[in-house]
Amino acid sequence: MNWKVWGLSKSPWVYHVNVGACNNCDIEILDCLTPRFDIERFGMVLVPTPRHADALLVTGGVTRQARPRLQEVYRQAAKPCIVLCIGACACSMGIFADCYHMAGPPDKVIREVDPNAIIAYVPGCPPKPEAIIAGAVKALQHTVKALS
Amino acid sequence: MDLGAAIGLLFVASAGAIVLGLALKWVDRKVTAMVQWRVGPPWYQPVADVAKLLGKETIVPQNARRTGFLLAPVVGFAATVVAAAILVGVNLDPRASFVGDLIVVIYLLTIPSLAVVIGGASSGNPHGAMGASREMKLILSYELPFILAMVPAMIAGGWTFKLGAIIAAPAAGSAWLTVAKVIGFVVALMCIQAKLGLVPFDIAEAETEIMGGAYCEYSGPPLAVFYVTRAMLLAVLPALLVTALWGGFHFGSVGAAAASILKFLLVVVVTVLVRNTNPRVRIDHAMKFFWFGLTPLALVAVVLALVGSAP
Amino acid sequence: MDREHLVRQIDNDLGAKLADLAKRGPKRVYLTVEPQHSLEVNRYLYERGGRLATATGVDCPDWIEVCYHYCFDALNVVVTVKARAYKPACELDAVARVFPGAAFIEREIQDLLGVKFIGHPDPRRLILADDWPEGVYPLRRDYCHETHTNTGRAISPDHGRARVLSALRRG
Repeated sequence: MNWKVWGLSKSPWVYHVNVGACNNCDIEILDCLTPRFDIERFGMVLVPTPRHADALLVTGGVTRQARPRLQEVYRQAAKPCIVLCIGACACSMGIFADCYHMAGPPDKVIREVDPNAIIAYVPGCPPKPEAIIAGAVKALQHTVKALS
Repeated sequence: MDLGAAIGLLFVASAGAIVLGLALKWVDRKVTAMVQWRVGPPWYQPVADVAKLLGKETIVPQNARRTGFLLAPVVGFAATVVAAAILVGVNLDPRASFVGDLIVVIYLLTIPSLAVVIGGASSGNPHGAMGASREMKLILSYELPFILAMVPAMIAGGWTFKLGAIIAAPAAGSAWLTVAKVIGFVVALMCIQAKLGLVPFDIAEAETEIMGGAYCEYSGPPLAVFYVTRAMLLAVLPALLVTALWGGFHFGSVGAAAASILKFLLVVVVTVLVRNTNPRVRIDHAMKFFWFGLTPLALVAVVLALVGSAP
Repeated sequence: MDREHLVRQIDNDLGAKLADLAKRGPKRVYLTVEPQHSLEVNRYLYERGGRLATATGVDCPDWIEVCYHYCFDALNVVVTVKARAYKPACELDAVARVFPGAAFIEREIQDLLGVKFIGHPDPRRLILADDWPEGVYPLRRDYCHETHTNTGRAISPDHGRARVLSALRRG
């Protein structure tokens, strides 16, 4: 694999986007940064702006208000950028599937902007930090294969 | 020195500063992890960061001033490279120093911070403007105590602006440890904490508050250049401190070389420990700290040096 | 002062204006009012030290019932004012006129149930999306989901029942 792909797999900077979550998944993501799970071992750092991001951690199903904003955040992220849908609501809208305020699961909303987006799913309500780390690592391995 | 040797020195110094800077960036992250009871990233992490950033796309926002936006990181990088070259040249051969090179190094080392200001102001983004204005206020606050802290070194070197003379002074008889120099060292240590953009003074680049401030709109290779510049500053600024205020680097004997390296690492580790044990301060608190705390302290150091050198 | 004392005071001062006063359980008192007296009863409870915990709305056949829940923490009592907003107009006086704490919850009830609060200092839309159509109130019982969603899935009102039946048929 070339050095750029190696760099992407060893240093994925993540940007957290909450498009309508109840905050449980957000708390579990924060847990990943704590000394017990320590995702900085993998080079993952929480960055303040989508421009610096290699992975968008999306939590929650997309509400009508958040839909254009999520699409804008994805467009403004510097490519290559993968999307990790964390939690049952991000994978499929979860229990809010038929609700009046939902505009769809994040993967459908992002594929409207970029049909070739690399999207990984971490189910759970909320997923344990171990599951989030496993999902992130698998997504990176798949990205390396897809980009090589 | 002739042009060929100068270019060679620039090349060697920049390569050395980049390698050393990235290694020290790892030291920073590893010590931070140890303080926080974590494992921390592997030794090649900063290299991976730079490699990844070089592979991303460069986005220039529509509202941004393209020239300023793209030139700012390059200008900062170039200034740091030249400052590194001067420091390397002077430490390898103190006779190669020219009159005023200390002033030139201090001047060159303000340029990376100015590059951050220009980059942030050209971003076309209110967060960038916020970061630029905060960095400007910080520069106005810490430059004066930094220069004043260098004065005891200049006086101890025999009223000179030559770094070579300052390095050679302890061997020539002047005391290498005086109260004035120690106070100056402490003041300069606080000032480089702000120059490096580290907590408690990383106000311009506050991640949680202003979305990265001046770096908000940067992505890809320009961000990589900023990253490498900050890594190089992590090597160059402690080197300047050791050179001017702590006797310089001597590689004559094994003992002297080990002492030089230990001095340098001590400065870096103190910087990292201060970073990990303090909260970020507000911009007005920082300005008050520099203007009403450090500047008087530096003036005390200058007065003590003047008194001490009076025959 | 205790609960009985408070109930007696309410009965004395407001008795004529209440449609009903019920004590259900040791800590709960329910006052039912007609829309024209709602503001006065709310102001009375607020001035006696009641803290508006929240307000809820119920879509009943002929009216929408807006319940204001006041906590009297020192007395360990919650007094609920059930104000009726008769359909089709569904209008009530805005309690936000008396104290600003009621402003947001009344905006939310206005968005979701369609109760019009007269005299509200800031009657803007609060929680529905900007592109949500006017006049469609999602928490009313006659709200039809398939007409007003853009998830792009064609679903019918008894969508859930159809899914269960097909799952059972598949065995």
